Amino acid sequence: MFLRAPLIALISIALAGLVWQGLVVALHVPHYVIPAPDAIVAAAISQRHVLLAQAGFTVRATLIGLVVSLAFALACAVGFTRSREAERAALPLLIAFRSAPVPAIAPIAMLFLGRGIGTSILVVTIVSFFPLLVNLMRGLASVDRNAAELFHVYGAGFWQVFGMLRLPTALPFLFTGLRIAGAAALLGAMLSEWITGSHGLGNLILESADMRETELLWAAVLMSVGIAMGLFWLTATGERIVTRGA
Amino acid sequence: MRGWGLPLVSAAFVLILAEATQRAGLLPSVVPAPSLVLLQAWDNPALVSNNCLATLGTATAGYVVAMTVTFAASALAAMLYRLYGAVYNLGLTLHAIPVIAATPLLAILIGGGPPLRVLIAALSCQFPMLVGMMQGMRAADSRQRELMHVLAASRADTWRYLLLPAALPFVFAGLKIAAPSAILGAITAEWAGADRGVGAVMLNALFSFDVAKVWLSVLLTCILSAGTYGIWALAESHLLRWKISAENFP
Repeated sequence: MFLRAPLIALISIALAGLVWQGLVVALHVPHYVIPAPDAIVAAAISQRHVLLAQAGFTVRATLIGLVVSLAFALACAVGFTRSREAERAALPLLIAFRSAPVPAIAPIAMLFLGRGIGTSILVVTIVSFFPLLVNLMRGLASVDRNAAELFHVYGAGFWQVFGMLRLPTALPFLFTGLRIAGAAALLGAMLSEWITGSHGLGNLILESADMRETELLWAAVLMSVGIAMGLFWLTATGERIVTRGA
Repeated sequence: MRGWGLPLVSAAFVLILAEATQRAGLLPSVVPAPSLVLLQAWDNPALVSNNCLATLGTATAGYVVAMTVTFAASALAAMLYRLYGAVYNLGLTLHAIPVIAATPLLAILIGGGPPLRVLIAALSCQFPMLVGMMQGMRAADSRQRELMHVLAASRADTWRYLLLPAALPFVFAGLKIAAPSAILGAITAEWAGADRGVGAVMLNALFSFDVAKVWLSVLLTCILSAGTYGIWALAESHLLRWKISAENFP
C-alpha cells in the first residue's frame, strides 16, 4: 500500500511524457529548444555513468547533511527543553543563521571547506537545521498535560519523560520538519555545487547547458525532480510506519 | 530605537573580537579581519558601486515585471472568481520550480543575457507578491461593502475609501517579503554567467581565492537584501500609519 502513491505518480508521468512526445513531434520543435522524451531517455541511458555518479554525489551530500543537521537539532532541542536560559541565549544566534541566504552561506562555506563534498554538506546542514529545530521544539512542547502530570506523579526523571513521552509526541512534528527540510536541503546542495563547480547534479545541469547538450540537461533536471519526489515519499512513508506503531 | 541597543552592541563585540583574533593569528586565513574587508571596499569604490548597481538594476527590473504581472493576475482573479484557484496554483507551480533547474532551460530559450537575469529575479520574487495582492483584494468585509452600497457610494469612492485601504496592508506585506528574494534571485542568476554584478564578483573572487573580496561580496549581498526589505518596511510604517495607530487603539 506504500507503493500506491509512486504508482499513480508513475502513470501520470508516463501520460505527461506521451503528451510531450506528441507535441514535440507534431509541432516540429527543434531538439535544442525542447528535446523529445525518447531522446532524453536515450541520452540518460548512454550517459548513465555520469548521471548516476553526479546524482549519487548530490544525494550523499543531502543525506549526510540532513543526518548531521538532525543530530544538532535534536541536541539543541533537548538542551532547550532542559533550560529556558539556554534557549533565550542561543535563539538570536540561530535566527541570525536562519536569515542568512544560501547565496551568502555557500561562498563562505567554500572558503572553509574547499570544492569537495564538505561544502555541500555544510550548506545542507545549515539550511535544513532551522525547520528541523522549530518542528522538534514544537513537538517536544506539545505533550498531553494529563500524561505529563501522570509522569510527574510517578516521579519520572527528565530522560524517562523525554524518552517515553516527549519524543513519541514529537515524532509527527519531526516528520513535518524533515519534509520541509528535505526540499530545502536538496536545493541547498545543488546551489552549492553550482558555486563550487566541481561535482554533483547542480554542476552537471550548468555544464550541460553551457555545452548545449540539451538532452543531458533535461535528463539531469528530471533526475533532480525525481530525487526530490523520492525524498518526499521516503519521509511520508517513514511517518506512516512510525506513527502507525504509536 | 530602544530594541536596537543589544544587537548593535553584540555585533560590535563580534567584529572587534574577529579583528583582534585575526591580528593575533588565531583565526584561519579564510576569515579576514573585518577592517580588511572594509578596506577592500574603500580602495575600490567603483567595484562596489558598479556591481551593486548592476545587481540592483537587474533585481529592480525583475521586481517591477513581477509586480506588473502579479497585479494583473490578481486583478483578473478578483474580477473572475472562477479563475482564483487557477491563478494561485500557477503562481505556486512557478514558485516550486527551483532556480537552478529554470536558469539553464530558460538560457537555452531566451539566451544568457540580461533578459534572462531579469526573468529569474522576477520568477524568484513573484509568489509572495501574488499571495499578498490576492489576499488584499479580498480583504474588504462583505458587510463593509454592503455599507458602502447603502451609503450610495460611487465605484470610485468604494475603491478609495474601502477596497484600497483594506488591501494595502496585505499588498505591502507581500512586496516587503518579495524584495530580498528579487535581490537573491538576481545574484543566483549572475552565478550562471554574468560579467557584472555582486554574484559575478563573488564567483570571480572564489575562483581566484581572494578571501577579502568573497566576504565583501557576501556583505554586499546581505546589505542589498536587507536594505530593500528595510525600504519597504519604512514606506509601510509611513504610509500605513493609520493602521498601526488603529492596532494600538485599545
